[in-house]
Amino acid sequence: MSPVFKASLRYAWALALLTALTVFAQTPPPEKGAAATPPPEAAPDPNAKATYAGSDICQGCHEDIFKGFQRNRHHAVEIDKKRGWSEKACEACHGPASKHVESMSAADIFNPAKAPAGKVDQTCLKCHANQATHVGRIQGGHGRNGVSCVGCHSMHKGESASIVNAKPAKINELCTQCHASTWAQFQKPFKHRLPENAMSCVDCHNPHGGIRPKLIQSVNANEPGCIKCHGDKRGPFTFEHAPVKLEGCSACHEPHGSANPRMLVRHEERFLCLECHANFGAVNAAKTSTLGGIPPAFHDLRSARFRNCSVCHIKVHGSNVDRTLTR
Amino acid sequence: MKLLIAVLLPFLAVAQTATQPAPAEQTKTEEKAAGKDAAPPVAATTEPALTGSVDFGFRVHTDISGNAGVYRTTVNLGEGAKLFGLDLHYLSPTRKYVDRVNIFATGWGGDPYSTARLDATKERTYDLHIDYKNIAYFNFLPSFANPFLATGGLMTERGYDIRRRMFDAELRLRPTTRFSPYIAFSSDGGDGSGITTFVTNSNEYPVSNNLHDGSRRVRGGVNVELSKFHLTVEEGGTWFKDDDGTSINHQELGNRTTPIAGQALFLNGETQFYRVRGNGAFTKALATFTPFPWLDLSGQFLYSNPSVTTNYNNTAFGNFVDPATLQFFASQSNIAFSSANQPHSSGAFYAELRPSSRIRILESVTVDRLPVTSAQVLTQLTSAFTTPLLSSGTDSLRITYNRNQTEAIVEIAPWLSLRGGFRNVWGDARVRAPQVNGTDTELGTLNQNVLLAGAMIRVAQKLRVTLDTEIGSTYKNYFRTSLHDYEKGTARVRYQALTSLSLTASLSALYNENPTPGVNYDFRSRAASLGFSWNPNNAKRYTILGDYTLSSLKTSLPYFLPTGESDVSRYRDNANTATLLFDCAARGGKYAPRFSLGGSIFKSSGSRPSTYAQPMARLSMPLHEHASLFSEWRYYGLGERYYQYEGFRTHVFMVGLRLAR
Repeated sequence: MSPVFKASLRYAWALALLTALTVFAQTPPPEKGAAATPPPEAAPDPNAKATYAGSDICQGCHEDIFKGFQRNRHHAVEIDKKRGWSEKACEACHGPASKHVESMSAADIFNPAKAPAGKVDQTCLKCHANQATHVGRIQGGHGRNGVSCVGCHSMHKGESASIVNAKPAKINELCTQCHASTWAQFQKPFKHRLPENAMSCVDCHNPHGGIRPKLIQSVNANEPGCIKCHGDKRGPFTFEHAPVKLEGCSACHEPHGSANPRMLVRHEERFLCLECHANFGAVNAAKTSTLGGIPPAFHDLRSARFRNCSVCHIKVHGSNVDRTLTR
Repeated sequence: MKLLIAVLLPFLAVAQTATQPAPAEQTKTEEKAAGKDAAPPVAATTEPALTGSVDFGFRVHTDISGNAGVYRTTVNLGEGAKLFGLDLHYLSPTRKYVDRVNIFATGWGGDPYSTARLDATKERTYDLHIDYKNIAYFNFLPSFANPFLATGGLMTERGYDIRRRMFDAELRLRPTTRFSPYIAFSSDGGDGSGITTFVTNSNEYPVSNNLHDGSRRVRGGVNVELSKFHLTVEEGGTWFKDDDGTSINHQELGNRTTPIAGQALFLNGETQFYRVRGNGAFTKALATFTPFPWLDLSGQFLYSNPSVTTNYNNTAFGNFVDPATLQFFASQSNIAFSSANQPHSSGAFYAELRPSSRIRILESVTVDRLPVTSAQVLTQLTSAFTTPLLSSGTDSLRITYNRNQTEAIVEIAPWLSLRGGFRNVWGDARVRAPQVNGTDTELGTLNQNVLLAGAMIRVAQKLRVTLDTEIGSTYKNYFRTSLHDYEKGTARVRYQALTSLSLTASLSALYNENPTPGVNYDFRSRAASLGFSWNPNNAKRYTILGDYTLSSLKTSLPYFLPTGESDVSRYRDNANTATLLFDCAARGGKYAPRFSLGGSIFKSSGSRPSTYAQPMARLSMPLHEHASLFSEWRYYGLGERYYQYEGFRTHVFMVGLRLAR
């Protein structure tokens, strides 16, 4: 089966799936009475007849939340009349609460912690959509995989007056709740200093999204976040090592942790380098054309002298002096 | 630092005068009300203005059993008095100049990673963030870059001892809720020494290395946020310098052990200086637009243009050879001047369409253009020739990258959402060709189609399952090891079995193969994690956390031996990682001692079997309402089956006082 045919087949599957989903979306939703029209401007409203009760009423039963909220940044919503939710900040997110106040039932109030991610996002983005942090959100894994805003941000806690605790240890703890296997990599001997709380996940990743894959941070507009600390690897170099620019630092490095002393993706340097540099490239051949084909006979790999490539190719990230990256 | 303070202070002063809200979009009545509320008091609380904690004490460790250099490379915790941590929150009672100040600090007193952070906020006036890190980079690993390893030599030829210091400061003014200008400054730099190689014809010699590089970055912009529209425009500049150098003034025989034409090669003295200077400007423009409640549009344009110039000179004395002519010479001098320029532009467009309350269609398009052009003039003079050899040349790298992704997310039921779509990635790259190709450049192309699918399941707040998969088919790609025909999947499960017990599991796998004749690359990686968290009685007495991860990586790739025969390189790595933490408080109210026991262990087998263990125990004894005494034991042990000389073991003890308010 030709690759083009295989790709076409997969496209056909994707289109069929999209069509099916679109047709499905036209059918009424399973819940009775739920709106099938575009979402309203206000927060999801389980009962259209409910009215706003005011934060003071909420305080009566939710004293702890009310106190914590006073030290949270969102408290500005409660006290700032310009935002339109003065003295009813709770209902800015939870919707009109009069029915809930009467019935005391959790079913009568919108609870973002229990709602589908899409609805939670729409509640938060009602105020926050038009902000710089959300450019690129839908391309990131969090936005696509249903990790809603409240999965990471806390609107009720007053700790450090932030909606997310800015201390590295707390950030790492939060991320690890879902990314346990990634945290396991940091238990390897050579890693970035996250377990020591000198760094946090957001030093390298932008959890909201961005232009780079894997939510990697950007610096200087569009350069990889790695060079924020590793400025000497930035370049541009007179003689570039192409994979650094083509596939990024992670083409060779495992930044989360490795058994290799330089955090390489292979345990010994030669195995990594020779994956590209121990074969002839088939230049301009239809499918086999790959870059970096180097005949192997230039170095006697049986000699220990040639087993660690960077003994000689010390400027492996790029050189300003020598095209073979030795100076 | 003084300059920064001088720059920031006027902004702070200006910020105090910018508290009046803008009149736009508001009625006069509302404006008056807003004006009255310009500095509303924080709701009355009984909490003190200053809260937080400070941990300080003393650390010692036992003699390091094994390789102390590797201990410094991996752990590097020193002895002596330390400030282990500082966490202060200040809530201003008057709110005259500031509402809140948060200060965090860790690892001061000579630790290998010292950090400090200050956040100051005055609502509707300013946000100030200052962050500082001082991290030690020490590397001494005999198994790395050591050509004498096979003969028992334990001196690495690529080691370093550097301190990197990173500083970031950002001040954002908030004169109105709609408009906020900001300015930021950051710097990072490294200083230290190390060992590297001086590479010259047919031999390489270990030489001492001085490292000194620094980058500075200034950026400023404005953020405009309206109800349906947002725009951020940022402009910045960078400055870079790198003044590395090497030197040696004694004889080195180098790594070559065999003579050439009966003569041994050696180095008697050498100096190299790199003087690299760079600068560049960058521009960032971000916009979001919500024309209708069912449509979100956003986009970004990013541009940077770093350029670098290099002055390099080198002199060396010894016995060298020109391998082409087999002519020997006693001294050489190289002078090079080069420059490189990298105008890099990127753009992206995103759209989210919600045709109904249960369906979202996500579309993103990304383009990236990165050309690098460079030129060099090199003058070489050796004692074998009376006239210098002058050469000049240019080099270039050009990358175009395009990406289009379309996905739909449908909420089938309140407990189930499905996601499906496709991604197409295409582009090309023109890079410098290997010298044997006989051409200056070679062209690579990229054309990849990826099918995307996923599901999100939530059952009664107890069970959450996230499934994410990609199936990629590549017509052409850049490297033999690039993602080609691949399948990638991730499953994450979180189950709240009891109020006090939560269980998590995750499974991820990536299978990539390139069956093209001449490549035949096969890559398989898997990772599975299981974790639990048990907090009975709201964690008042006991907490137990634990997780276990099993991961494996297998690759197979043919390569050519120097004899011209083909062989297959097989790489295997199987790793087991476990962490456990048991925390309990004795009975006795708020003065009861608290005990923690746990740690992590990593054990791998395969191509580089390693074991790394980090168990710990901690006892905390409250002395007073605001003070407690703590002591901690940690053990660090690294074992390498094939490189046993890299192993080390040591016990680290800490004792300290925690003051909290």
